[in-house]
Amino acid sequence: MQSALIFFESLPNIALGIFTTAGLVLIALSVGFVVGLPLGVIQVYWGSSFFSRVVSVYVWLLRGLPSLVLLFLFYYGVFPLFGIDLPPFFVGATVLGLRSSAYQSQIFRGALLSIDQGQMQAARSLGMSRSVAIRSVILPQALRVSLPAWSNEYPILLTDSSVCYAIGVMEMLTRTSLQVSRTRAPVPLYLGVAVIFILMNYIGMWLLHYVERRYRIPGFGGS
Amino acid sequence: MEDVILRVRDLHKRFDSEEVLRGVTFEVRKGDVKVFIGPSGTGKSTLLRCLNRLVEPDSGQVWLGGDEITHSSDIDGVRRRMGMVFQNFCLFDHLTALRNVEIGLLKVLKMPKHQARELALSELARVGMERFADKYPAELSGGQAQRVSIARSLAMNPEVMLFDEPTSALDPELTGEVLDVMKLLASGGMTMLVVSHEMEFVYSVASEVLFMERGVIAERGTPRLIRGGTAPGSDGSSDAAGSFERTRAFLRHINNG
Repeated sequence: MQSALIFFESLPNIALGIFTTAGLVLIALSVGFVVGLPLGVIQVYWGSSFFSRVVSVYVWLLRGLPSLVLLFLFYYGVFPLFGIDLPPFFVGATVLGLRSSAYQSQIFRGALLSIDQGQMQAARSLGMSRSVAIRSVILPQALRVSLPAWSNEYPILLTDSSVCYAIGVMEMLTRTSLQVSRTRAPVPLYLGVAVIFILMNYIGMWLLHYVERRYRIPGFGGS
Repeated sequence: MEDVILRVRDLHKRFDSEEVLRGVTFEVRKGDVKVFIGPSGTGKSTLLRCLNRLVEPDSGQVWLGGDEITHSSDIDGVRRRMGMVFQNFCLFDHLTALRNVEIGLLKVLKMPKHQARELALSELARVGMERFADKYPAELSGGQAQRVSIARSLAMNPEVMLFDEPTSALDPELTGEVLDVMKLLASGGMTMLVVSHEMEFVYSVASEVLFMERGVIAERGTPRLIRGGTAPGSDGSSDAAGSFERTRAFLRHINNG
């Protein structure tokens, strides 16, 4: 009873963090997409180029480091080094996004590789340049193929976003912890925030499923 | 010769240790239907792909019209002038039949939307597929898909059409509809290079049959000569060989297979 009371009392404050968390996730997903997609394209279609090797190293580093380590490195090191003074929220969103771009690039690489080579040949035989063929023929197919795997990035980023606690972003976990130190009732509060995470997760997955069905093509990519 | 539309001289191509084309030379005149036959792995498909440089030849020259295209830097411009039909249709899976035909007009020829739509519909009608304009490739039979892919190439108004085994991925009962479209094209004066073993088609429309073996054109002649109806030379062929032993042996072989 007491626990429930504490939870409901703290709820408005924790709920404010929903917006911050959602913001982190949306920005990170977008950064990851905008950066990751070209990286995947470079690896598949310019595979023997110098850029492709740079991409491999980028992917290796960003996937190889714990997100917390990356976060500290950027927050204390990279951003100050370049004289960039961003609020912690944007540092967190950027780091989560770059890390996600490394994973997303490999999702897109796999999807691009799954498209039959005949598609490119047919496009080129019509006189399309390679970049037009990639944009109008390959990517519309590859993006559809990548959607199920790409959907993983949402729950991963949603849960990972809580590392931003470490640099003081006022996201859900940070707010919860502040409430815990005020009320000294960790269990109801952490349970409460867990429920919010799970619900946010559910809503996002539902949306992604909707997108997947919306863009489904009869007979394409299984059914 | 003025009406020579395509000239191929001494084309060579090697994949790793295997020399797939070992010096192929021939000429195509406007309205010709040249059919390439021969055992698999003798370079027929590679030859077609070297013509529009989907595969880069190692040496030799190709002229399209008056232009030497083997070293042309505007390869997209060259490919626009040659239609290509693939064994596996290679329709764009995410687009309807209509959009498949439209896309080249829009993205390559930069045609206005309404004009592209109109032309695409008329090309679909030409291959008898206008009723299927809104179907996706996966909703079409193989024969229908291949007809759409022919329409897709025709829409670009090519000077030459290349057919790479257009019916070999089809169930036997579906080859007829594709071959009928091709016969229609041939009788309309389209210049065509065809890799096919559909001998009924070959005998009815080919202006010349080229038998390829181990990377070269081993024997060549009109369908009539190859069938042996008339004595060599009597229809004006200067081909002294004229025996067509290997061609005939090959044809007997595929008929029994």
